Amino acid sequence: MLARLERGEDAAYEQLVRAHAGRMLAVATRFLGSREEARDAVQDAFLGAFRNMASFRGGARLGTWLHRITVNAALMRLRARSRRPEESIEDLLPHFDDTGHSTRPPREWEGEALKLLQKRETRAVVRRCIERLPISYRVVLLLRDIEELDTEETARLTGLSPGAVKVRLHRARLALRTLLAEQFEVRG
Amino acid sequence: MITCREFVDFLMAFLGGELPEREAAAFRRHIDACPPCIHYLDTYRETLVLEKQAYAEEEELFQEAPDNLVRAILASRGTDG
Repeated sequence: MLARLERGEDAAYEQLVRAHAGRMLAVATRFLGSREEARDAVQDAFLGAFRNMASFRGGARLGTWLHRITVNAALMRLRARSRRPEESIEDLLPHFDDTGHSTRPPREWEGEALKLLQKRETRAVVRRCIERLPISYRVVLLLRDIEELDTEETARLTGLSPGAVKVRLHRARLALRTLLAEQFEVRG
Repeated sequence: MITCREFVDFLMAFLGGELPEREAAAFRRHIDACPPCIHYLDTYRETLVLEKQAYAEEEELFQEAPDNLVRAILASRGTDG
């Protein structure tokens, strides 16, 4: 495939795009929220890939390389968005009194996670909760927990220090837990 | 004895094996003595399981790229440089 791409074969390029664009669209949509913006990010990603195809030496798999380019393209679009003040994550974090005890002790969730996951609707609920996280926290959570990048790579992509990435990831997970508890806690 | 606040603050470090042994031991003692924190730990772990699977079906749904997107991408290759 690489040789055919290097020769500029149109059919090879079409094969490449058809093989990867769908998955790249899924990745871009997670970060951007908007399907339309995600399409633009995927176009940006392929444009960058076409320009740099000569420098791709097959050190990583082509799909992995394209995946990384897509994440970068999505993050660039996020940075280019208008600088609205981000909503605070504080309300989504657990609160404690002066003695260090929780002001709202957690309640049980309906069913175990694995059973909950069997319902397609549950996965949609979880995705909507992730989308409710403030954007800078959502990006770190997606990069670390979903894209499975390590702390250093995440720091490089976000411009945060590795320490800040760890703090932000932990707060994002705590906030997500709060949002999921609203959905899954046993009532009464 | 650590507080529930400290338990939550260091939860990720504990699960990641990053706490020094003395702190980790204090953490484990708190788990033994505090039912709400045991429960919080369980739901934190469930959160990680749920989020990791949240996009699983999305990958299936997006397997095939929309045709008009494919055409737009290939067309942009022709106009680039």
